[in-house]
Formats: sequence, structure tokens, C-alpha cells
Amino acid sequence: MNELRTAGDAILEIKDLVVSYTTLSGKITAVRGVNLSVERGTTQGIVGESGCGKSTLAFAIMGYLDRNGQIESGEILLDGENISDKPRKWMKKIWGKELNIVYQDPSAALNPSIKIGRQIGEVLETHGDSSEKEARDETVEMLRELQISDPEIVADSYPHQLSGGMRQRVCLAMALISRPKLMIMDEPTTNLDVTVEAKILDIIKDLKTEFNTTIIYITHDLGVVYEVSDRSGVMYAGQFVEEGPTEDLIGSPIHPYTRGLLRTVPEVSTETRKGKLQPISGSVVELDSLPQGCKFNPRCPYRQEGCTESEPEFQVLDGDRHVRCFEAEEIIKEDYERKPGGGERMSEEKGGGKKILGAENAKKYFGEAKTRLLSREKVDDRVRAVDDVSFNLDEGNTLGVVGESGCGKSTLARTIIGLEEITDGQITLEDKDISVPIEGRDQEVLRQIRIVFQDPRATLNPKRTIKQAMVRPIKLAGASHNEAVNKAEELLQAVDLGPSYLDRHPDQLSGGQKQRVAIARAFASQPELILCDEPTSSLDVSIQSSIINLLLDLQDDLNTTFMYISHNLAVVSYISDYMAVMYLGRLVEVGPTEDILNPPYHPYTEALLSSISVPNPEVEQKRIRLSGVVPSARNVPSGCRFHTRCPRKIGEICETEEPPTRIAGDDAKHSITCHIPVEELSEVEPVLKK
Amino acid sequence: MTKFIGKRLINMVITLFIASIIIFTLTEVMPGDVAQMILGQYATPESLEAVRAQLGLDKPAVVRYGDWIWGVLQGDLGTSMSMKGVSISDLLLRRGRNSLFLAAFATIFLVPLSLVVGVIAGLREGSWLDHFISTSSLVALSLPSFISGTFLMLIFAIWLKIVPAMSSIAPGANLFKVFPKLILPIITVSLVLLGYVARMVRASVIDASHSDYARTAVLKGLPYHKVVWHILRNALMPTVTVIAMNLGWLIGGLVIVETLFAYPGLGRLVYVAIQRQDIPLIQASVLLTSAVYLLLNLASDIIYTFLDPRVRY
Repeated sequence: MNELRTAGDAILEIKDLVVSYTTLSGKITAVRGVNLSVERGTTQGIVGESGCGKSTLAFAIMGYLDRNGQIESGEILLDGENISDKPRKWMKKIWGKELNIVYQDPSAALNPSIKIGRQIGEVLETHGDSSEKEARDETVEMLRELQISDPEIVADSYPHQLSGGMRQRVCLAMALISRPKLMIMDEPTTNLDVTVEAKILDIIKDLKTEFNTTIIYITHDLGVVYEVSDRSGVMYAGQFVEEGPTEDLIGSPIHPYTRGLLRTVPEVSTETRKGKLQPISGSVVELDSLPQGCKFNPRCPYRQEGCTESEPEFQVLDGDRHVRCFEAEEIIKEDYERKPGGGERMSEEKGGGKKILGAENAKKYFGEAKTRLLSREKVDDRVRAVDDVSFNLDEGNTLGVVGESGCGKSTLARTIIGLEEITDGQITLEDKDISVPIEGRDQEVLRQIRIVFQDPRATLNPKRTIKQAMVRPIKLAGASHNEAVNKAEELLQAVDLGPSYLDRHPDQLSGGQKQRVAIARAFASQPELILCDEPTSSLDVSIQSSIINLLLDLQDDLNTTFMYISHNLAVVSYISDYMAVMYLGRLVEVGPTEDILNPPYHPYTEALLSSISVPNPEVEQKRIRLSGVVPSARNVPSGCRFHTRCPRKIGEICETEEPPTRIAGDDAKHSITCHIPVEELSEVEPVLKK
Repeated sequence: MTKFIGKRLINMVITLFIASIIIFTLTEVMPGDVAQMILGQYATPESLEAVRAQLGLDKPAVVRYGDWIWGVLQGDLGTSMSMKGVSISDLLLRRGRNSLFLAAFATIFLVPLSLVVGVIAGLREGSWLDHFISTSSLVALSLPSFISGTFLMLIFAIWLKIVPAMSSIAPGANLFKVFPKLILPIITVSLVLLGYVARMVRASVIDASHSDYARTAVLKGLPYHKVVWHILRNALMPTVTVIAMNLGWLIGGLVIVETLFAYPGLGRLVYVAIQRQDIPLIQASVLLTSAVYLLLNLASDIIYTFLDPRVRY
């Protein structure tokens, strides 16, 4: 072990920690010698892809590993006391009092049948000598501190009555109420909308100053870690490969893996897309078959001969940074280029001008309007998932659709492909009316539109081989069986999978590989249009980038048109030529990607852009936070639907009148639906500035 | 809530109506002739005709169904064919009381025991106690009651002579006084359900203790009994439905057990009625059984809404 940064006041010190799991196929070491020192009142970020050991580390600190997990060696010192070898009975005294954890899914973490107030209050009753009354008062106070506007009501609610963001605040309150020495947060905002995430992150940042809490923040999202943490560590194969002040780590990363991670994620930028994303080659190593020498060497662009022989030490560089790499001294001399690559993409104007997809006043309502039996009163509480949406999409272009969850993005896609029957309006494909559900469409239309869903695990039939899954849509295009098999092989080649994959079953493939198959299958019928509904959301970032590159390459070759739906603004802005911002069933702003990312903005677009976390110290970001959550589509607000949350509401007109759709700027393709005149919208500062 | 119960009651009536049609149709297609049964093998065609006319069997099926259901709606279930002139309502009431007594004791014995056993096994997942409980409940579950009943009779009544083997009691006897006679049938009828419910409870306790919220409770540093409360609060909810369904099943189980132990209950009555082709009696008792089953179901749904805050009407 190299000498560690010996900070004055470390609340947590981890020394040479090794954690392993006993499995049927033998022992697997998930954490392989971790050293870490966290100073009181700071936030330590831990970043890594799935399987890197970050959650194992978190639960090892908590002293709550799975039954088959054990700490092999090393020490965990909490405030100077070694807690790594303490029995559960002892740990019980500090759990909930000095050492707390908040994890990813707040809806699962809260007991569904006990009231919120009780769940928080019992922490105080257990660890202090608070009476039920005192605990209740303190609970309400704590909820108020976390910016919950009706803390009394929330305390009397059950978890299912609250929104996701509210539940996570409740979890934070539950963890904070005993003023713990150390709080571990394991991906606490991962499942939340960006607008909600931004607010939770604000709260977490405030915790430091208000409660002087020490936080270990675990996430896969570099932007988030950059936002909240003072120092960060990047984990790979159960070890830290780089650790240091967050500003330095994100601004000038040294380890090839850190650099790779930063380059592999698309970044929202007001400029047009330059070059391709740079995926990290290969895939995350399996813990049961680690390579010789440096664990990152098979994927490393800087690999030297020595790298495959012995493992590098965690060495100190620059005084305050730790890097596990033989080449660190060399790499640090190089200038770090954030997003390399030429300007080969987007340089030329796209589009032959042929219109592929059109929507005209398309509506999809769920449920039926009813007339009350007795009062003869008309009740229309239909869910207006898609409400009056119109747009055109030209051949070879990509339209990105963004918006918070519940805004109707997925329903729009499902209506276009015919899985949902359109309620009103028209959808056209190459000027042919296809406003009928999928059963009513002819084979040709089925061939022309395909869809790629979010979860590749759920879309491939586990009983069918990849060949069977691929051949059917190819035959739909009129091929014979032999031709279809050949074509399937070709397609797999195109998504970088060899012909040997043809006879495999889906469970023999990794998540990324399955999504490649799903994409190959979508292309199999040579469709004109592919709808992508969050195709990379469940994948690791390094796999995400290769999938995005793949989609773009295929589009280049085949001139396919995409509609790309995602909550991830960075990905959408990277991949799309045009963007549509959706709110409560309506498109509030549509236009070329560049225009969307620069003023004039619709106030909603502006707020979305300012909610995302950008892992780039060179970018300055304006701070706008939306209050509340997306209202129910069963009961949409009058006038402008956004008025209940709009930070730029101008007056009564917003509540009473539907806003007009105006052309914004010189480009007739850019339109904004808002009462505020375009000139005024143009005057705002850009959200993202370099 | 009232609206929900009202709706469910209406549904129940419709279900019962459909059940009545099915029951009637089934008895209609059942082989055998009641008149033949009454008069014996050597009856003349004329006398058979006469008996049929007397019983109203010569009318078309639709008319007979109408007559029957009209009677049922007025609370008149008719008279038994095999037991001449005995009012079915009286018969069902008397036998039903006996069965209810048996079922009630079985429930008192079964529900707490299966809950305790299931919870213990669930909380101690993987321990020898859990293995013991799981295995023995599987055995209890898989033995049909005519086998387990026979064994119990052999051991406790014939070899050990602790309890009587036969449970025949005089009509109108005080059931508490003859209670020892009921012990074997109660245990027998409970055994299968005990195994089933215990296993269900165990499974849902295990499920809940692996949940994130159980982990949250542990990592809040709560004492063990509070963690258990967090688990049981959720784990026992589905059990309510399971128990209600099983009590419905218990009614069916009574046919076998009551026959085996010669206990004069509803189950044995059905058995006898079928043997003797006593169609009105079969119809009435099967209809009663369905009604009880539906009521139990409704009761479980109502209890569920009180337990689970996510279900509110």
C-alpha cells in the first residue's frame, strides 16, 4: 500500500479492504483491496459501471453483506473505531444512528403499509429516548427541512400516495433524522426524472452546509458525481483506479478508464455534434475471470508490455491524486482532449426532403367519457396521454422526443406503430394514412415501421434462438428461408456480432448484445422508420455509446429514419437532427436540435436543460428548478398546461387561454407554443455556456 | 366502501344465479331415474309415470327450473325425495349447524397454528426448524384426508383408545358434550389446509424479509421484534385471501371427512343425497355451499381493504 492522504479529520478510513462472495462455482472477490479516507463534512463520490464492486463496498461499510459475502481482510474505521469485525448485535447500535444508507428505489425501500411519519419516527424512538409525540414533531420538522411543503400531510400518508421524488426525500429524511456521522447513498436519483433529480441533488448539496453530514455518494453517472461530490473515486474490477478532488478528476482525468468513461458519454452541447462517441473497447471484466496484470489492460489504449504482467500500485500524483496505472506519468504529460474527433458528421445538410412520417392532430385518450346515471352530469376524465400532436419527419433524419415521465412519449410511439388505437387525428407514412391499429395494417406497413424497446431482456423470446428471432421479419420483406438466414448473418455482422450468435439463445447474451440483436432485428425488414423507445436506458454507459454509434452508422448506410425517445437529453441531443419537447401530451417546442439547445427556449425546455448534470468544468449552467410534478393527464390544467409549474408565467392569460404556436427565429421549422412573444424568449441567457 | 360492498353483493347474486343454472343442468343430465329408484326394479311403466307426475318430473326442464328457483327465492327449498316429506330447509339447518360447528373448531385450530408455524419457518429460513416444518407441512398437504383420517383413527381410536372412532351423534345432541367425538374429524379436515396455509405463509414471509423495506428496517437499527412487525405487516396480507379460499375448500373437504367418521353434517348429507338421487336435496345443498364460498370470498376482500392501505374503495 502506498501512503494514503492523511487528512486531518477522517470520519471513515478503509484500509486494504477485500470482500468476497462464496458462490456455487467458487469464491469471487468483488472488492479487491480498497483504500479510502473520507474527511468529515465532505462528500465522497464513487463512480463505476455495473459489476465494479461499488455497491458491495457500500454494504461492506454498512456491515450488511449478503449471506454469502464476507470481509476477507482489511479494516473499516468509523471515527477511529474498526467496525469491520463487529457482530450484528453491535452494529445495530450504530445503524440508523451513526451510519445510514439510502438506496436506489425509494418505492421499495419504504414499507408500503406503514405511514411515513411512523417509519421516520421509529428511528428516533429506537435510538433516543424521544416519546412518540416528540418523534412526530421532529419528523415533521425534518420533512419541512427537505422542502416538503405539507409535512404534516406527508407524515400521515402511505408511500404509494407520494411521487417518486417525494419518496426519495422521505428516505433522505429517515436517514438524516438521527444526524448520522456517515451517510451512504447508493444511486439515490437514478430512477427519477431529471427535473426531480436536480432538486434532490440540490438538497443533498445543502446537507453538507446545514447538517455537516459526511456522504459517500455512489453512482454510475459522472455528471451527478461532478455535481455533488468534493472528491471522487472511479472503481473498476473491485478497486479504485483513480481518486482525487472531483474538479481535477473530471477536468483532467488521468487513468485511461476515467478518460474512457468521460469520452464515452454524450454531452449536451450547444454546438452541433462532432465526430463519434468513443466507446471503451471490450466489455467490463467478469470478476471470476480477471486478466493477468492490470485489470483494465485488455481494454486500455495505452497498454504496454508490462501491463499484462503485474498489477500497478495505487500511486500518488500531483500531491492529492491517486492513480493505479503504470503509464500515469506519461499520460499526465499529454493534454487531455475532452471530445476528440473530426467533424465528419452533421457537416452536410441531410434529407432528400421526402416526408416519411407525419402526425396531424394525433390524439390518444385512454378510458371513456361518461355521463353520470343520476345527475346526467358529463364526466370526461379520460387520460389524455397524447393530445393534439402534429409533426413531420423527413427521410434519413432523426427526431428526438424528450420530456419527463408521464408526458406521453412512449404512448406516442405506441400509437404510431399501432399498438394503441389512435383516438383522433391522423398518422401518415409516406403520405399514406396509417391511423389504424396494428391488426388493421397490411404487411407492407408492418415491414416499414419497426420498434426497439428499452428492455432487451423482455423483448426477445427466451425460447427462440437468435436465428429464429431474426428470420421472421426478414421473410416479411419477401425473402426465402435461405436468403433470410444469409441476411440475418449479414445483419448480425453489421451490429458487430459474429455468425456464431445465430444459434444462441437470448440468455447466453449480455444486455448490450441483446440490444444489438434487437436493433439488427428492427433493421431486418429494411424498414423506412424505426422507433427507438429508450433503447440504451438500461445499459452501462460504455455499451450505450457503442449502441448509439451503431444506430448512426446504420442510418448513414441505409438512410433509415429514426424517432428516438429518451429522458436522457444528452443522448437525444447527440443523436437527433430534430427535437420535440413534450409536456402532458403536447409538443411545446419542435425544431432542429441546435435551435432547441439555444435561445429562444420554451420555458419548459429551458428548465429541462438546466436540470441535467453536465460532467464538464468548462460548462457553466443556469439554475432553474421546476416546482411539483407533472400533473395528471386525467385532469389537465386549463389554458397552457405548463402554467402550474412554469417559472416564467406571465399572468392570467396562461391559465385561461391556450397558448399560440409561433415560428421562432429564422428557421420556419422551429416552433414554440407559449404566450410569451418569441422576441422575449430570445432574450434569455443560454442555459449552457462554455 | 358501502358502494363496493353493494356492488360485490349484486355480483354475488348474479354468480349464484349462474351457479343455480349449472347445478340444475348437472342434476338434469345425471344418469338414473328417481321414480325407478323409489319404486324399485320391478315397477310397471304406469306406476313410474304416476310417480313422475306426482313429483312434477313430467314437466319440461325450464318449467321445473322456474319452479325451483321461485321456491328458493321465497325461502322454500322443497322437500326431500328420499326422506319422505322432510323439509329440506329444516334438514340443511340441522345438518348445517353440525357442519358449522366442525368447521368453526377446525378454523380455530387451523388458522392460528398455521400462521405461527408458517411465520416461524419463514423467519428462520434455511434452519433445521424450517426444514422440519416445510417437510411435515408438505406431507400433511399431500396426504388425502381419507388416508390421514384412517391413520388417525387407527392410531388414536383403535390402538391408543384415547378418542372414539365414530362420530355419529344423535340429532339435537349438545355438541359441546360430545366434543371428544369431534376431535378426530377436526384434526383430519384441518391437516391438508394446515399444510397448505403454513406453506403459503412461509413463502410470503420469506418474500417480505428479502424486500428492500425489510432491509431498511434492519439498517435503521430497529430491534428484532419491530423488524418482524415490518415484515408481517405486509406478509400476512395475502394470507387473508388464502385462508378464506381454503375455508371454502374446507366445506368440500367435509364431504369426505364426515362420511369417513359418520358425522351427521352437511357433507355427509350431500353424499347421501347423491347416492339416493335425491335431486332437490342435492340442488339445495350445493347451492348453499356455493353461497357460503362466495360469502367467505367477499369477507376476505373486505378484510383486505382494511389491512392494505393501497386498496381503498
